Amino acid sequence: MDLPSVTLRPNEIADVDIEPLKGGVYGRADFDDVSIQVLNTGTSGSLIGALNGQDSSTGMTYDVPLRDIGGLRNSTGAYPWRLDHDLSTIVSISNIAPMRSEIVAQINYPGGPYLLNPRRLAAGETVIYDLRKIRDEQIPDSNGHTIPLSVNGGQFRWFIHGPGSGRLIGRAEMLSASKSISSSYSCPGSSCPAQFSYAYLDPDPVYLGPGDYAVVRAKEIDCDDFNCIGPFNAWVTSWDVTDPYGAVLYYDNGDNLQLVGFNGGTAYLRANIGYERYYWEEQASYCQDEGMDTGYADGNARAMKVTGISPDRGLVGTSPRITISGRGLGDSGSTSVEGDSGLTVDNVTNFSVNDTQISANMTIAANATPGQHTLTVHVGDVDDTVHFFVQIPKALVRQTFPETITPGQVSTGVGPLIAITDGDVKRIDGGVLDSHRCGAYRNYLYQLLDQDNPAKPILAVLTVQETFSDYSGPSGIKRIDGPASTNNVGYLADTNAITTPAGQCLTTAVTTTEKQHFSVTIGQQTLTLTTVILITMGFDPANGGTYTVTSAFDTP
Amino acid sequence: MKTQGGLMLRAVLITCFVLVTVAAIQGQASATKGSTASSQVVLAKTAGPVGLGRIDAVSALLFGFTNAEIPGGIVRIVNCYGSEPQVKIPADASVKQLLEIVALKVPEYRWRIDDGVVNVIPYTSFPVPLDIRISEFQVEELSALDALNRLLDNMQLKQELQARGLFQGLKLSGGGFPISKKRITLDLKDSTLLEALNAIVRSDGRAVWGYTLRPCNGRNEYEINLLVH
Repeated sequence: MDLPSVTLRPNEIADVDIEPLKGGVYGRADFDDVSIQVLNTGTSGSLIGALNGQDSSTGMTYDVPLRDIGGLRNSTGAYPWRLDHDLSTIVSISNIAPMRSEIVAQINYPGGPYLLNPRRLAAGETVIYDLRKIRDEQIPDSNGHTIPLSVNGGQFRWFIHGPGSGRLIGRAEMLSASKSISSSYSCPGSSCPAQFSYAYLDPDPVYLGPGDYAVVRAKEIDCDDFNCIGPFNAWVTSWDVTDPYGAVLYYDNGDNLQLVGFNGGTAYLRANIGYERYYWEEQASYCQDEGMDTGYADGNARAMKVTGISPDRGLVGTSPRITISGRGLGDSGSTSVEGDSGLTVDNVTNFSVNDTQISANMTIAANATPGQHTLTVHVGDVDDTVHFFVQIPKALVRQTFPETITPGQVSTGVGPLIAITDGDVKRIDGGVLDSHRCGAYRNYLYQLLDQDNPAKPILAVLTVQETFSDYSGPSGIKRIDGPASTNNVGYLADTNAITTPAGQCLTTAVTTTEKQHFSVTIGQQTLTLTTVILITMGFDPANGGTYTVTSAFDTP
Repeated sequence: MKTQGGLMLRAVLITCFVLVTVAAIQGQASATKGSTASSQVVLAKTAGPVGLGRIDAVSALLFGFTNAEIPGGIVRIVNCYGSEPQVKIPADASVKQLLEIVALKVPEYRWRIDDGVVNVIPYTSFPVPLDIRISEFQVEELSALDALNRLLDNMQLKQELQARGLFQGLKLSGGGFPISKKRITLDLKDSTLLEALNAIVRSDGRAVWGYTLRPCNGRNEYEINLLVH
């Protein structure tokens, strides 16, 4: 609403009665809060004024100094606030520019501060901060903090913010109905508004599991000559996302970036931030606005996805070194691997430059439940899982002789019958078991398998106990039980020999049979393999003498 | 320092016992030689579990020594016409408990620890020629099995064994990949067979020698080999 203009002569004082406006606004809630703007056609500083009012319900009078728009320093403010007794403090800040302007407000108190994110005001818009309402209703600030009910006062600071913002002007009104006191504060906060110092992304890095959702914001710290304020939401002009692996799906939501973990990997994020650059012109005692400048805040989003583990199985009671593959697996500081019951994982290290592999030490307890287990890979607050199979020895199968073995096999895992008259009994690897013997022997090669279906090899060096039963043959020569070792791919060699000392070759018929059993001791448990082998060895003096050394699976 | 022990093997052919002429253990029920502390460490090692149930005594010793990863030596007198004594060993048994259980079941046995090697030798009238002297025995960078084969090729030893009425005969044998990959070097002068055997298994760290006597069919057939290697 406009009132008629008034022309004043030099040094003239005039009252402007706004009583005539009452008729137009009385009873209208949208006029509960209003501002008075006095336009001066004279030179700067040629007019001063004050607004006097009276509350008709309480009888309180108000004396509000009118402020000139003045320089940029007037777009800042630092006011006391009190809420003791029935005091109230209401801060009002108006955008007096013809374009939108943004304000940052911070309420200081012992144990504070209470910081609000920037608020944009349309041209002519006024924002009201009722300190009692903020405190008593425990309204949270941008960080979720509230002003304790025991706090009765402090300082209210505000300043204009953001590129292209026009001008703001504000004041604080402190009232006490019981004491019929009102006071008004409109002091500038500093010589220049606080301005951009630095910014960062929050959160950073942001960790995402497959399908996880996150919102990233740029946080800004602004400083004036005396203090720094922040962090609060920066004025983001745009986002740059560099995502070579398709790690995330993203949506540029203006002042924030919405992310969804997709393919795993690292996406590099940049928030481009606009701000106004000010400097204080000493000689003119004036805050100069140098216009818009830009800054940025960098970070990354690590979308984590586990694609595999090697080895994907391990023997109970062992401690394999595992390698987990995927994308966005982080570094040793933020990555951990958790096993379910019976599996512990530690010493996680990252040996890939692009977060695609981590390695770790796994300990499979001797009493771990055999079968499928789950490992959970944690990167920051997100995780993904991968399966790991805990093996126990179950059976032996015959395994093809390596090509380097001489003589080679005659059938899978079975060497030729080797007859000697004064020779060595040799293992499959050439080691001499016995020398100067007459007789025959045969080598066998087995591989230790686990309980899976289909069974898989157990790639571990294990001591396998061999026991013999159901012996029949000449008395006293039943073999004694004993241990043998698998090699690192689970191969178990065996030799069966029937011999006499060289020079004392057999001349009479001999036939022996026995059953060969196998067991493996792990921790405090002995695991008996299902495999039982029937071994027959003998000598038939007919036709010049024939040795027999055979073995057959009695039970697979 | 002496510790209590005593043990095994019931051979039906054994009708009386006389003191064997094994110098190192003569007159001793059981003993330790070498560091007492290291003997205590050996005895405290975990031997179990040894089999799922009852098991013959020599097998129990072999499995126990293998589990405990200790070297040893066992003299075995084969029961030609009967079954071997059976024992049941608790899953968490120590080497000492293992030895004591076997000793209870087979009181002929005596055990002692010779500088880390656990010897289990019966008190028997059958020939146990561990006192045969060997003037020289050298091996360099050989496996325990190859070292033993070298020892058994010693002509002096062969002649002494034959002189004592000991012969080799038919045997069933076998073996797989060795559980120890260690290479050993020895240079012994004027040692006994027992000392040489113990030196081999001690150097290997896990091997167990065996002297098996089969007093069957009126003939003493012997076998010296590595039961664990």
